[in-house]
Amino acid sequence: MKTRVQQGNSGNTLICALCTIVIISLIGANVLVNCTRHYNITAKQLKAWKEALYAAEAGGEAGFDEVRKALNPSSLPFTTDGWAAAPSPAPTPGPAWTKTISSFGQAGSLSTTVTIDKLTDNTGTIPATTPYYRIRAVGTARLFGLPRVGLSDQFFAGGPNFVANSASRGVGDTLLRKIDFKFDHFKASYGDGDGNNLGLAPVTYPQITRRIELVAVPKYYVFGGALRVVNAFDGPGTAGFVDSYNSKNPTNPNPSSPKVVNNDIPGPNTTSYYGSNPSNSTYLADAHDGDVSVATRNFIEGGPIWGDVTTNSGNVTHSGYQISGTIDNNVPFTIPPLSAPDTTGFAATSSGTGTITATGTSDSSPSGFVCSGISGSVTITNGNASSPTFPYAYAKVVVNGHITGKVTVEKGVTAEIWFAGNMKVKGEDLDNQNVDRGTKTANPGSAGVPPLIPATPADDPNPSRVGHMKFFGISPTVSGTTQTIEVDSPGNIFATFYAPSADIALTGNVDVFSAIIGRSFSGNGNAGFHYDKALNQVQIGVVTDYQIASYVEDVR
Amino acid sequence: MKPARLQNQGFTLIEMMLAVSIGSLMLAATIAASICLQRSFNAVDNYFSSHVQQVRIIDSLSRDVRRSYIVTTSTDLQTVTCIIPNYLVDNGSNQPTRATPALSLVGNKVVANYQASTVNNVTTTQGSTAISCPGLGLVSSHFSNANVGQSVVGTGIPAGTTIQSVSNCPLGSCSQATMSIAATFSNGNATLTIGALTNVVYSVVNQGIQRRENGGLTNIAASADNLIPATSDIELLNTEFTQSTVTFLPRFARGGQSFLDNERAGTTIFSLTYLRNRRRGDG
Repeated sequence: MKTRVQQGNSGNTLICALCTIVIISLIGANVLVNCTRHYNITAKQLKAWKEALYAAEAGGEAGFDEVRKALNPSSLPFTTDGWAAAPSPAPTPGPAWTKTISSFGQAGSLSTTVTIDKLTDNTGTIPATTPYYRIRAVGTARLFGLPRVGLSDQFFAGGPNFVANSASRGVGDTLLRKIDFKFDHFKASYGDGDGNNLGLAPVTYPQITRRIELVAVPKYYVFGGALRVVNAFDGPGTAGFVDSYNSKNPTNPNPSSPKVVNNDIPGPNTTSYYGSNPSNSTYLADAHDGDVSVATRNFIEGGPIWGDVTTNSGNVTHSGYQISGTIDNNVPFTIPPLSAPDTTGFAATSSGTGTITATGTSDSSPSGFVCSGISGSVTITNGNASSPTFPYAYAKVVVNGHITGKVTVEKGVTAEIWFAGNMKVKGEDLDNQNVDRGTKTANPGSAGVPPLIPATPADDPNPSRVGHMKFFGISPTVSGTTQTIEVDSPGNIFATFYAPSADIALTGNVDVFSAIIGRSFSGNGNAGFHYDKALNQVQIGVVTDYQIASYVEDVR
Repeated sequence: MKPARLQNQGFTLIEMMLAVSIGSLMLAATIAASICLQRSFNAVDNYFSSHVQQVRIIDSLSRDVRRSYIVTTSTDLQTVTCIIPNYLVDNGSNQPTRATPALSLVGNKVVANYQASTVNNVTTTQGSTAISCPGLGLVSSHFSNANVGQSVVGTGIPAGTTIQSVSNCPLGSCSQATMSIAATFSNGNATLTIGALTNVVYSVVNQGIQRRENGGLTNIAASADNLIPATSDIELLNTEFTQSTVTFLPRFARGGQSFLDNERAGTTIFSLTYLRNRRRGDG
């Protein structure tokens, strides 16, 4: 038998091939490892960093939503739904509340803790009785992926720790996306943010946290249109109309006595204040902002409306109505009820008849008075009339009953009159002696610059005559009860009405220079309604909402 | 039985030359492949590294823009200045505290500031450093002696401007002030924020992107791939936002200018960020 031994020399080739494979594999693996590291940085870190902000902003929104409940007395904020008093040390001066929302986002990887503290302004910017809120939210996102991902940071800085002076700020602030692998770096370095409760706080998973702070301030209502009612609108009368003017318009020759001119649109034989003056486009533009807004479909028009109209599911059209502006039938809105103001420290006037002297120097610090009703004649005089620098005064009168008498507001006085009952007066009973664009008026009732006034006294900060006499209808606390406001002729009216729970009726031959918030409005006869556009720049002290006034992120 | 014959004769010269040639070619191919792979690895590594820097620039800039009062950009769109609320109080230690917001009125709207205040109804004149407020302090916000030396920001006020002096100050409420830099345009109803503000400037220096906060330097990003950021600031009536792009030119890219332009364009990342504080006070 022949045996053949095969002695090949292919081992070298095999070794060469293996070496080649190993080298190429190493290169490939290196590429993969680096790509994975970069992927972790660009994807995982970025995802967590952005989602931490989303979580923080979600907390901020939850806090802001709770703050807005403060406007509704039946839904007191910070009492339910997981809110609790903030643990010590709570934000100062407090009180403060906190809430944690956890396990949302991918695999429940996000959480947020929001803390709200109630602040009071003592600078006079807003009344001390109206709080504003600081909302601090911390958003936390779990960092997925490998626990050790390269930061790829190339930063340097001088100091070892954080200091507010960035020039000497240390490495603790140089990283953009700070990752807590084992411990919460913020709590270790800054505690609660103000240096309280410093300590190591282990984290369950690698995480990224971001912190934001919002400031929610009261939003004051301004009259942005002629009439705004929540239930029904029926007006103006067939011989009346709604239009506007601007008492601040310096080219207006006599804004307190608008010139009536014949009108050619939207219907014949109607009149408007400057509305159809073709030779002066400014007057024309000022005259067409008598906007009417209704929160329901209940809209009935008698005379023309020189402005825009909105309803909620109404069927108002240009062909069927005399409306000069735009029409939108899909505008819902609500107006919160008006609560009675705090009368602590107000001076009591026993009969509601006589003279009240106003000496307050700003809307936020008026002279306060309270009475049971006005059935006689009340005059609010200017106690600052002899002031060499600021001859104007502010008063706030709270009437716990009805107004059926006469109210006089002297020149230089801006008066708020809050009433809990009904109002039934004639136009001439609401006597507003101010003028538009009041300048350097020291002595009530006199125009021009009196001799005793220094050369540079202030102009009246309230430019609108109408804005000097402001009525506020306090919403009835008994369910089903409606407030009523009835104004009849004779006499024109220069006053605003903010009465969200009142049915308001204007009858007879009255010209009303005003802006109105009410439950419903009706006007008949030839009552003309004229909205002063200058009111759009004068807030009336009623908080209708809160809004975010500041946004900062704590980047430590 | 006949034993098997061992085949132990050597290669012929031709066989040897052929084997060496083939082996050399294989070795050369392997080396060439290795070099190419190494280059490819470097290219991928550099590309991702530059991409990381891209994202870092965008993220850092967006965070600062989001919390700014006002943002301005240079004409070449490569220098961005952000004026940020001074949220932290320097207590002279390593432990700052958070400032308490203070309220100011702008028209009918309430705004909140940190270690600063708002003055509205200010008249600015293009080319002039003088600014003024009408009326008395009882009526509207005014300047004060404390404003001297403080930063001032507002539309039409160049970044880095400070209040140098105030005048006409009855009862401590000053109706006139002088700035360190002239206003860039006239405004009869400007709103200015005055106080301790944080000034952050992004700029391009060689191959790096620098961020200077009140002069203190932080290198945001650096890459040999020629990063180019561009930010434009859009200011509308009631809002303001920035649009930023960051591109880089991959180093492995070879070719004509058109090809390189396309390669750069292919790396573009984009960001649009609104100034959260720009609408403050508005509904």
